[in-house]
Amino acid sequence: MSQDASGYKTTIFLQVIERGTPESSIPTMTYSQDIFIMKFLLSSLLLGRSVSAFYTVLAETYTPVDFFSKFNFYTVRPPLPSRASKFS
Amino acid sequence: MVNYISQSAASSLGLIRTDPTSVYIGVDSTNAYPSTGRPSVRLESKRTFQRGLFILDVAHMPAGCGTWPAFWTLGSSAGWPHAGEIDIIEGVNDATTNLMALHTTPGCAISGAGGSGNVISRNCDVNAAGQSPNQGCSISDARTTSYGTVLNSIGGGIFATEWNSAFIKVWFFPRGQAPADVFSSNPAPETWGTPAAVFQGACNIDEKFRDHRIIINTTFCGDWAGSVWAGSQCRTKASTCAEWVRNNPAAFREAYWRINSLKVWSQ
Repeated sequence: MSQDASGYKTTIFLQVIERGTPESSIPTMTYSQDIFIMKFLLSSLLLGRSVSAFYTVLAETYTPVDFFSKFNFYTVRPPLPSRASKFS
Repeated sequence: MVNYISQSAASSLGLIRTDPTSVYIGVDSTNAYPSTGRPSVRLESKRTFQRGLFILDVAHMPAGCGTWPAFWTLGSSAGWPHAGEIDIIEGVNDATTNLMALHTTPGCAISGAGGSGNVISRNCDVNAAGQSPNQGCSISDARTTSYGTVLNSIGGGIFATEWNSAFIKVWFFPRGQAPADVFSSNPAPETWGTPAAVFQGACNIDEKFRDHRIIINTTFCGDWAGSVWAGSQCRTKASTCAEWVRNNPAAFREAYWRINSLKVWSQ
């Protein structure tokens, strides 16, 4: 695994270690690399847990400045039961 | 009992107006209407939505005997209820808690688990056996701050609705209790804690809820407010809901929405 100073560009690779390889020959990770991998795995699990996540795209906003221009004033009784249409 | 009027008429009567920080949407509280409906407003968003996070900051909502206000979304691509209905804020008369509901065709039911509210009915089908006609699946907020005069007394609050392919959830945060990110540029409902209502279960949400318009309206009496009149404290004011609405304009001075903002987010 490697991580640049910004933490954004990351490469993760697996190394196959053959049985019998001396422990001194196995690459070790630094503490910060350990933490990074733990965060990476945890966030992956969280994101995969449900559809819900944070929202980033403001699809529409209704403010006092433009509120009424973004709505129709509906005056015609729809062909529905009043309970359903909330007409009375 | 209601007479929904045009934008120009509503503006002339003073039923709609804006100030720098909020929008006012009211009803006529000046005149008696012995033979015609009381003027009111029904707004339907020009834009339609399919899933998203809807965050309403409301400072005041209509309240009082004879009123039936609602903030809701309705499918526009097919006749009711083939494209679904999501009721986010709704109640009648002197109700003290908010009732959230879904209305669909057959084949949609919720488990009722996961929310803090009281599950009233689980089958979202408007013709479900064992439920009142048009009842759908419904969950009542357990808090009296969630609706009507008590909501208004605390300065309103935030109603946030998350609608995705897996569920529809509604949070209500009384004024001053909303998480900071509700107002941020990347709201994260997953961090908001237990919703008031979780609608999730044996229901294909993408199929049952399509192309919704946001609706804000205040009506009077009708199939709900009128039918429960005799069983409410409002019965002491008049023999029928209709009589009350026709002849008591001053009783509707609190029948208004004051909305600070409404935002719709997508992922």
